Amino acid sequence: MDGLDGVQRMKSTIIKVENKDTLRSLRKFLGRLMESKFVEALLVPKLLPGGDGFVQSLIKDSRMLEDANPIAPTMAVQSARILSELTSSPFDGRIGVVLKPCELRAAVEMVKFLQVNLDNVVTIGVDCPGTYEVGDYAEMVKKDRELSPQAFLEGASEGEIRPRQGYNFRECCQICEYPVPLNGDITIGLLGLDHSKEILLMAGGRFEKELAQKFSLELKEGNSANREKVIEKVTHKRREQRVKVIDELKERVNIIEKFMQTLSTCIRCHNCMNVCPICYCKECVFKSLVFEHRSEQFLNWADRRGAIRMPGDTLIFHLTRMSHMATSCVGCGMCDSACPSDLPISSLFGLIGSELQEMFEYVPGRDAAEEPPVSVFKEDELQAEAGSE
Amino acid sequence: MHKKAMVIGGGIAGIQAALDLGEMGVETYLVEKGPSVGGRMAQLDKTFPTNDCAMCILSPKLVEVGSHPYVTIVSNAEVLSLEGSPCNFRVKVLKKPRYVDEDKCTGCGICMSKCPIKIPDPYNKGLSQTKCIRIPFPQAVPAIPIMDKETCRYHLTGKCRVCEKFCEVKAIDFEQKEQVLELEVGSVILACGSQEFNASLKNEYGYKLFPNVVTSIEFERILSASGPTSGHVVRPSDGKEPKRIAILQCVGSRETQAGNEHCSAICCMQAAKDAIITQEHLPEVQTAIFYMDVRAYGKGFDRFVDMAKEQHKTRFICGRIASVESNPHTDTLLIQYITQEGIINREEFDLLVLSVGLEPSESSMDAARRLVVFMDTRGFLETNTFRPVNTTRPGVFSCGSISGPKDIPESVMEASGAASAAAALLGELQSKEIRFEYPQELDIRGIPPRVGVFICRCGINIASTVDVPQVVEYVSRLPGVKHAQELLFACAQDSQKIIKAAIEEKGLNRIVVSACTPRTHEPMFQKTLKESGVNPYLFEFANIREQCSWVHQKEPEKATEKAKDLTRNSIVKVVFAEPLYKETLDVKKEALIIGGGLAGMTAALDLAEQNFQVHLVEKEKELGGNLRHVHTTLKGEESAPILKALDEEVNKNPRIKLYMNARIREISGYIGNFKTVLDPPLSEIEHGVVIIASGGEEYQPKEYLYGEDDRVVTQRELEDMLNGSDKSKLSSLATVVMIQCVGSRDDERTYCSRVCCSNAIKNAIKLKELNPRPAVYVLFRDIRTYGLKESFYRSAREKGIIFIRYDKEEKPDVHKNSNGLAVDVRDKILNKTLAINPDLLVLSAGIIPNPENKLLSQFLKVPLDPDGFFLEAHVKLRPVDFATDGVFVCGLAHYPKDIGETIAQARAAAGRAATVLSKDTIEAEGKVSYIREERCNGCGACVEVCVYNAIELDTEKRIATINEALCKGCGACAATCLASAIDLKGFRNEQILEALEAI
Repeated sequence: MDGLDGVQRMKSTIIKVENKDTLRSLRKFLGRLMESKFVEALLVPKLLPGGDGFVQSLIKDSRMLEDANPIAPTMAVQSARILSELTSSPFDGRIGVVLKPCELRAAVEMVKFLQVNLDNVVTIGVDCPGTYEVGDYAEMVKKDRELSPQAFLEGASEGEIRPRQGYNFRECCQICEYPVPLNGDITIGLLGLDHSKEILLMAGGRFEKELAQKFSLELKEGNSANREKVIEKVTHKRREQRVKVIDELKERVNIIEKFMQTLSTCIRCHNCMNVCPICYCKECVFKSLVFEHRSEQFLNWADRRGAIRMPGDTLIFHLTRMSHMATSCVGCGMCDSACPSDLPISSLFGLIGSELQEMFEYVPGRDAAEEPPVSVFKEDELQAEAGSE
Repeated sequence: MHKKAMVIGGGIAGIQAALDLGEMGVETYLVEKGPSVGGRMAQLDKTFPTNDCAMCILSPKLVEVGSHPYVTIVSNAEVLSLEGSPCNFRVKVLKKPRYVDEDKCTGCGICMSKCPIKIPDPYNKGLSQTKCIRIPFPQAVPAIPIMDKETCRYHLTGKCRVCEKFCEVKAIDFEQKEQVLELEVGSVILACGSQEFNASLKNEYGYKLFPNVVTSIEFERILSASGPTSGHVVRPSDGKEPKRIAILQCVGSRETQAGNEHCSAICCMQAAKDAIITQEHLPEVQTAIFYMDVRAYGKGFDRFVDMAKEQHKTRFICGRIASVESNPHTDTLLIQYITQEGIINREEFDLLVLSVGLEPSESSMDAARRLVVFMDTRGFLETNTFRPVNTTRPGVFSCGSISGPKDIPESVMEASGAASAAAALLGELQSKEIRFEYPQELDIRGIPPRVGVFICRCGINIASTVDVPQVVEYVSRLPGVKHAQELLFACAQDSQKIIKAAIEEKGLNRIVVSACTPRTHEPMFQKTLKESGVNPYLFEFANIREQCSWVHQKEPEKATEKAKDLTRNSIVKVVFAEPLYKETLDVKKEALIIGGGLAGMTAALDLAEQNFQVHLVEKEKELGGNLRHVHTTLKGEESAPILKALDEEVNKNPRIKLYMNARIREISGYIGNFKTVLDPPLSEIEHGVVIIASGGEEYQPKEYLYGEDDRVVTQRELEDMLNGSDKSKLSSLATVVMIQCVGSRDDERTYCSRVCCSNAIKNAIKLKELNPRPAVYVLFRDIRTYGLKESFYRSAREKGIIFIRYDKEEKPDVHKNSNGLAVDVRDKILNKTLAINPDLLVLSAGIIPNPENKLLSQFLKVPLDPDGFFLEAHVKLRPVDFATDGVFVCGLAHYPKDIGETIAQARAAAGRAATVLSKDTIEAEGKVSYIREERCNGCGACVEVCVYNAIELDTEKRIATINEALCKGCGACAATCLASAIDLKGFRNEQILEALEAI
């Protein structure tokens, strides 16, 4: 994969799945992490009482792992936001957190902005075949009460991942190039494995030795060839889809009028900002005094232009947000899911973000030691773009 | 005792010396023979090796020196005599007539525009015309015109007086007479500079004979945007862009026939810079530089030359021009030259630039004679290596190129060094802000804005284009404006009275002036506000001269409209302004000096002499550093007695506390308030400044069999032998080979170690003096005996020392054979490989940075350059400072340098440090950043971008905190903060948005 030189080499072992119950084996592993005191608590998606969705839960009592689902096919809240809250002040002991790849990448971004502190956190990244909108999942459950959580892993072993009949993955998942986690302390691998028989467990960096000792794991170098192949297959397909989506979007926004038109149905609810894991400001500048105008001001503007759109500051809101965080955007698509007007925010940020990221040779979420472009200034950067050549 | 000083010469060196003295609290006269300060630097286009615009970096200094409360500029004046003794000098200064009353003139320039007489413009080297009465250049300080009596029509014919007629303030005075001022000062600094070699004396190059032969300084003017062609590079004969340019080095330098045997030290880099800048102007241009040696001996110089070669297609041809012919029809030049291989080439060029050298100027020599200080045989001031800023007369110091050609940073360093020495002579100093009694400030809280607007006519400068009454009428109707009026000259004294009266009568609490530039005039209006009890930050300045009447001269209506817009914009901005106050910081009047070598000891003694407590930390058990291995200077002065004396002085000085065998464990804090823990002892020192004098080391060669064969030694080892008991062994030598650039100018260390050429020559001469018999070969790439060192290169050749040039690609080959040591080197002139069997091979090992620099740079948050030396705030004008206030650098920690340069820089660092320590408190800027804590997420992005280290993270509260005293108000943090938690006082978002709306 391009540009992933910063990703650490991990060591791996295979966990055998008993009775073809992948989820149970995963829970057992998580339980062992808690019982062995490797972690004091676990943050992991848990089934809602109604059975029609999942929500991240902080578990202190390992018996409560019963409803935990580390492979939950929905993402109600971006966990990087939760981590930001969870790690805002020092605490004793270690917390293990189960994260989807995009959540892990967002968390790493937030480490750079000192909004997440992973010092006492063990990140457990889980392969992600793709997620569904929360509403879609609830509907699926309503239709099929017996729906097995493992059914969502279908096709993962050979890389033929397809959404459930009659549904689609969330749009951002369809074009996601990162189905596997980068740089988790522990990675749970499902792609390229027969998950009814085995799960891949990978450990790297700071906890490698401790994990190997505590769980008497025999860790080997690297991935299996088949897993590599399957990952590449999935990534390739999604990359193709991504290019298609982005190219179509480019057509839709390639001149300023079209761009404005695309965003014209925005109702300025700021949902995209509220759910974004990267938008970390305590209070958005758009909610500050700067954008509170005097009544007379509105009338002045209206006077000057004949008519003005109300409420104002919709386009500038998106542009400002884009300029603030497009370099760090991990493409989790929470903005799309939250948008009541179905604006293509995520792909728009992906379009701009990927060009910016390329310009700065930056991959968000790759490595916490990498400085984000917004806080780095080099005298010789962007010369071509600045028009000096 | 007179605690005043005089600086003679207002070039960059004199300006820096005067500013430093002023900052130390010494009242200083800056005497300049010309009408404006600025010197030669004001005529340069760009400066090497950063390609900063010379005027852009100089003009802030001009403004500063022109407005400094402790500096009095005496322009158009020269010193007649100096009597008395140190601390009690009486100086006679002849002030020549300008024919303009300096007190009355407002610098509006109307006389200049009306004067009917055109003369060649000396600022543009005669390449364009100016008026007989003229302001020398737009940024001139003082910005007062001078009349050229020789060409003035009234003075010649008794008729005209046009300038007088148009001057609204009656400043023209045809009867002005010479005046002799008698001034009393305690010390004097000579900074009269040098002059360019007269290229007409070398008529073989066709200067003044052929139109397309120009000197390097004329070429600077051609390149300059403010020059005769507005920066359009054209050749003089036909105004066409040249395609092929030849630059000839060493015209009037390194030529005994021309009377100058010295090297002019700056021309190689100037030529490289001109080639680069020309190619930026004309991408297709091809430049060839004809040189003898490329003397790129300074920081970043070699990289700069490489850039000229590789990125800017500049050919460097080692050879001399034999003859120049000009085609009478095309004015194209046919140049015949001889390459180093001895081949004669003929090539056509469109333009020939003669890199004219620097030589002692007539006025410098006059000044030296009148002040009775000694010059050397060439006419440069005589100085001793160990006393580089002292002249032969006690109490009289020198800096800049009066004592030998040098570039801007060297001149600036010497200037700060001379200022330090001059101040040390005057003893304990106490810089006090000149305090004026201001009335109680009005409390404007809860009071609606009452804006007063004053529109300047600037004589007819603004009013002839902008309809000033119309602007006044317009703004008087704007909301918040309670008073609007026009002024003939807003800056005139009586205008200040008018403004004050209006503030009082109408109860104004915010003021807008629409006139010229805030850069020169804002502080004056702010003072007027203060005198009326109005906070000086409740003031806005609109520039309706440069931005309206000047640029839209032909469109008066549009100019008037724009003047209204700009004034309205300022009115809105001032309505949203708030009173601001300057934070102050107490200063702990003690210094920490890291490193007890020559630099550290020198700086320590200078500061101690000015009565500051010094903590001197040395990691070894004895003082002296590298000086312990330098036994003599190039001039032959012995260093041991000097070292001994320094050691004793440092040891017995009660104000210097020595910490031997000690290292820095931790440094925290900021200017005025540093805290350092040493090891040992583990106690904390509090100090106000830090001087880094951590030195450098000799490179340990890995090449040329060093360490494998006893006959291979380094230059330092040879010097130890030459000055030790092994001397007899040396007298039996038959053949000695020296190899230059060992560990320097290679791929790993791209820089020149600066001192090795001189060291090799010094030791080679010593060997020859010991015993003239042995053959001594010096294998070199370029001999870099810059400046006055050149004469020793000459004398080495005269003593029969053989110099052989080699290329980086074809280094000498050293091996052992049956005859012992064998050195093979390709001689380019003979085009043959020479095989030499030396019985001593001496490697000129370069200087490498102290490996501990890295740690120190982290402690003090100051940067290192790519080579590992400390990187100063500005390579030209702030050579010993850092962006972080209160930290200074000198000696080898900064870059390789010789003894004299080290001492000058150490004294400079001490002088700069004294400008801080002489103050009880440091006053911060008023317009500083502030954090709105409730919005701050503590992400730290602002901490990273602040070059002044003014922001810290409060890890407990998870917010950033700004030290207002360190903030310079640049706004980088405010621009970086995604949460808009940082705003800049005086430029708050709200203020800017409202002002934008008003446009």
